[in-house]
Amino acid sequence: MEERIPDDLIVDLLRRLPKKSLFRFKCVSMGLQAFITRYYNQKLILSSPSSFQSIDLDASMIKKAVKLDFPIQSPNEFKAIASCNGLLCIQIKEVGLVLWNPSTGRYRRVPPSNPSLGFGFGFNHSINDFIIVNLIDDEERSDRLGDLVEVYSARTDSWQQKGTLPWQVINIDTVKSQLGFFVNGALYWKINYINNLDLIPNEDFIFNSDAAESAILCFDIVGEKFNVILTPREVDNEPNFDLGVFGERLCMLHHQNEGHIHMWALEDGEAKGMQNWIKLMRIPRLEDVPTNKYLAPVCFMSNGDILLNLRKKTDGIDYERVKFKQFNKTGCREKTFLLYSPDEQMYKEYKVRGLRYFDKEITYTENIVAPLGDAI
Amino acid sequence: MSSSIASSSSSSSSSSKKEKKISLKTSDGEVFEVEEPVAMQLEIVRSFFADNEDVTEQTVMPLPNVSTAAMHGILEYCRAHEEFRRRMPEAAPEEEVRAFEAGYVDRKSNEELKEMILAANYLNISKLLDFLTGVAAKRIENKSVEYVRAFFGVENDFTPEEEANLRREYEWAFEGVDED
Repeated sequence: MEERIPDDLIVDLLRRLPKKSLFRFKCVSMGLQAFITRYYNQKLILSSPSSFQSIDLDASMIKKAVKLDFPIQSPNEFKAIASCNGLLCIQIKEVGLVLWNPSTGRYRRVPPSNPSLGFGFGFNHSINDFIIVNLIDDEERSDRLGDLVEVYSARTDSWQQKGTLPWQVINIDTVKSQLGFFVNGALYWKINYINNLDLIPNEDFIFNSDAAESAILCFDIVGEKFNVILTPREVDNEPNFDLGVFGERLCMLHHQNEGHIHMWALEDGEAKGMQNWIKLMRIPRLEDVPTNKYLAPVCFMSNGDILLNLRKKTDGIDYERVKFKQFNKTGCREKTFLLYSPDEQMYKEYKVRGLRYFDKEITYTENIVAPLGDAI
Repeated sequence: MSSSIASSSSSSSSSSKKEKKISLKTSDGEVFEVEEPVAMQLEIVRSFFADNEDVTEQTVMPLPNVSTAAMHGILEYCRAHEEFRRRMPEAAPEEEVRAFEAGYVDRKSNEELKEMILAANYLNISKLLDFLTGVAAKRIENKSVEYVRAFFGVENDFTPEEEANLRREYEWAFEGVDED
């Protein structure tokens, strides 16, 4: 008697396969293709202050932007979004933080937090719990003590105070409307940091930004520890970088004066606990980028191409120093997304149908086995 | 088709020192007398006996979705785990468990593996199901599209053009695939 394996078992089996196998098995049958497309595709979630849309990045052929219905009725003003294990964390003006599962439509309002310098959204795999880290903006803070930190647990649905930031951290860069960068069990933020202790003359010293350099703050979620990662020596004292997560690694995107982008990845070194920067690739300048925009890498596609977004220069990066050449051609003004192929070393168009205005984007993978079950 | 094993095992049960046994009847009519702690690993059996007050020790529970061959495999696994649990109630001897599990599935063909997955699913033995699903995933991970079609027993319902297009689009995913 030949019996077919039930669908839920096939899903459970496919869940264990690496991406390469999944893409190959899309060719097995239409049914399997539909399964894999539905559950395992990487999506891009785009947000404007008032709406959400999503694009299926692995869709074959035609890419379409689909509007997502946000469950909390307007007026909403979405300020920042983060994505982790199938859940989105959204910061809404005057509402606060909301956790939302766009696949099921469920959501939860996070209890009010203290005033914040910056949030981070991640997952504690040791206890299967979503967490939010709040770097508290404490006006009473003494310069030598460092800011307080509180952590929200989705399991207990409450905030708990968890120590302080290293005191040398003087500013959190949250201009990218992102809630930290979550990868491999840690959260990362771009910060200003006092590295050179000689610059602190006495106890009355007041921090000024001349003494600080750009660095990266790391929070190990399981160990609940902070540490600071300095930028690669080649990019010392260069504030012109963005952070991003590419291929499951934290990456530093260093915008060169000429318009090229150098991409550095943080890798585990040979010694335990040691991390090194390696130069992953150089994305060459694109000729006809309008002067008010710049090219921002978004994510790797499944074939290794890199998706880039033409982003408006409205944030804190010192773009006076990034001199894009002016061109009269309207060429890429209409294209919001582009692909760069490192193998062929060339740019390609990435057409998306039905795209509406957005100012934030984040990659998202559906998670059918919600770690918190029906809780969210 | 009556079974000689069933009658011989039932006669031996009377001689064993009052260890409680549970009778399970497979799809092909064979009755297995299973030690209670082993049978209770089968969630479907546990809830059957927990929910029905009028069942007695003489009750034979029918399992119409499980073949005799699959039942042998299921019981081998559950008995081994019961043995580990009895010997080391605190923490299972991980290396021994792994060695047993590796040997256990090595001997099983894809057809047997599939039949066991279906049986473990029906009997609701989550630990075994999780283990077998993982084994199945490992078996197909690096295999060709044709192999996976045979494994899942599905027909290719793409047109030749559609399939060629997909293969072109995901060309990178076809590098370094094992021989079938």
